[in-house]
Amino acid sequence: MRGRTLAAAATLAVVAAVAGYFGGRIHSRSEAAGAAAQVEPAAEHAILAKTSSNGASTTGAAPGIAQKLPAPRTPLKYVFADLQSRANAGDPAAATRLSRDLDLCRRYERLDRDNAKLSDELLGQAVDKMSAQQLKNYRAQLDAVESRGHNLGGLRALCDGASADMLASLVPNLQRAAQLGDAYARACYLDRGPNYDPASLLDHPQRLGDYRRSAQQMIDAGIESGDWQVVNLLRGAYEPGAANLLSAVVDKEAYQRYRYLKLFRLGAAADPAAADPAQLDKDLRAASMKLTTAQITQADAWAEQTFTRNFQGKPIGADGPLWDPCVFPYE
Amino acid sequence: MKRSILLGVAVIAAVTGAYFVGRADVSRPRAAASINADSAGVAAPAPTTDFTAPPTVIKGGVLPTAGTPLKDNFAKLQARANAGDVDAAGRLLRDLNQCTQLRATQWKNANATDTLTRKSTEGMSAAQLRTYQMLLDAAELRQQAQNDSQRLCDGVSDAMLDSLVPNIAQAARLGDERARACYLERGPLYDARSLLKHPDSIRNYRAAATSMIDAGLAKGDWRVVDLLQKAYEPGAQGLLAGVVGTDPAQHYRYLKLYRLGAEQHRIAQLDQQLAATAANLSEAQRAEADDWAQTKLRDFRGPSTNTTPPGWDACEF
Repeated sequence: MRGRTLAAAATLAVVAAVAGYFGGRIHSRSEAAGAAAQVEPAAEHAILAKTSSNGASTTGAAPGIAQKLPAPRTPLKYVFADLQSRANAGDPAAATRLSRDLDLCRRYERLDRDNAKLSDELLGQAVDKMSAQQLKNYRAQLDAVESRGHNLGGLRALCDGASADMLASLVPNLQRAAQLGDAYARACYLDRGPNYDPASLLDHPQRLGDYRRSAQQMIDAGIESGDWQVVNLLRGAYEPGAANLLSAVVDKEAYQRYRYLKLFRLGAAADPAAADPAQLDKDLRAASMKLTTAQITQADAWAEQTFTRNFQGKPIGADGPLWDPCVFPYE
Repeated sequence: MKRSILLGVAVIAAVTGAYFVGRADVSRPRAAASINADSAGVAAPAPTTDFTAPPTVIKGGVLPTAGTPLKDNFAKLQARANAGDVDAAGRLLRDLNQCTQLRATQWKNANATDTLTRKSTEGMSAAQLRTYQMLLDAAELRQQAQNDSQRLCDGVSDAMLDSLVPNIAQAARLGDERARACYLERGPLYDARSLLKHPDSIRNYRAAATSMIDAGLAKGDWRVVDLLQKAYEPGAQGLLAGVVGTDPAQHYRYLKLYRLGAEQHRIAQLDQQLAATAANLSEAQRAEADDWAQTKLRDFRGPSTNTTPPGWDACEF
């Protein structure tokens, strides 16, 4: 029962996001400014060139490659090849659009089924003994299922006819969008990497190597552009006992752990609701035990400078929910 | 409004987190240290298995006393597991699993206990004090469990820990049911850190999964049936789904078998699910799957839903 409720809540959240998606166009975080100066189709060779921009949505910061994106809801099967070749050529807006469309389509079947299950469960309930209030709630739930069904219809139009090969390209396209500066894609890719689509990893184990080779560059780009998601992911990856992919890429170095913790702590001072400063202080004290005084001084200075230069007082929560780096904005 | 909802969620998450933080999280391995294949201390190599050949299962005799330091037993257990001793393989993977998660548990427990003991009891009501005492008792129990783990895991090298997934696979091949369920569901993703160092473990998974499925079905293992019905379901994205490929007819077939073995209180919900799945099948497909499930049911004993309640964790050792 609890599982069903959670599933229903998750469905509700995602479908609400999808509804928003079809209401407007995709855009990236305002600070997600990256663009490629030169990108080869092999994602690991992509070169990041940070630029100032107000969003990677339709801009394409690399001159000469920005083009208008297809209208939202255009079936992916018709625009996949074009978006793919534009993404390969370094068009950040096309890469973002493609990775998010693929992400939605990869999840579509499950979303549709979950909504159908919820609908069946509701329709199976006996209404004759419900109180007036219960009936009111029941009707509201039915309306919600119907509304989600309508939104899923839009998603069906987007995803119908998308081939298995197209869907299997989600991870490399997420990686490409990340390398081209989409901060949401970067956070998701750093956190999950090829495990974001485990089934496709069976046919493409080389994606593990792609991840190992590209992660550091994304970490650097994230810190450079003041991305709290990246700092938070690093904080987790350096935690004792961390066992995710990112923790396998970064060293177990106490100095680095302290440095990122300190940076995060500086952000928490301005946004205590996002992270508990007292807890962070405790973590910092524990991390500092393994460092010399000189190392602590050096790490503190790095954190202060980086915070001032790259983060400029931006609240920690400004870069999306920290508890799930794979939540994408649809607006 | 949104902010208050977020705050509410954060508060609930914090409370829930505080409760669960100390529990030994056996469902997710935590590498206790970075994995270094060059580390000394592995006297017997992890199994290098031919996944296509049927294993020879032996009973290798008495196991070391539970809780004795793994560093002293590792080589012997590994050699016995490699030779096909199912009990040694099961013991080895469980000890390794416990050690793998020790460091994270240790760190989090220390944090949670510290927070708890620094809390002022001044002004607490009688009910609050009782709750506080219960939390303290729980912290003490966690500390005792942690001390036991420490005794077990002291001196265990990174290279030993690195052998966790191959040892789960070996125990699974030898017929350890829990290891089989865990390996089928998570495979090398169970230890993502080591996966990055050993991408070939993905190939091993593909090679091993099919024979493990066959063995599980032949043994009447409901865990395997439940994993299969989920893996075949259209939209499934796990590793097992990648091996078997999603297929509505197969999904129906395994769901039907699972339903035939279900306890009374789960039947209505499973029937609803079956009806939704059947809607995408032809009459002939459905009839064939129904027959198959009825026949196959003879190999199974006990209720399907008993070993696999909703939300069951395939890697709960």
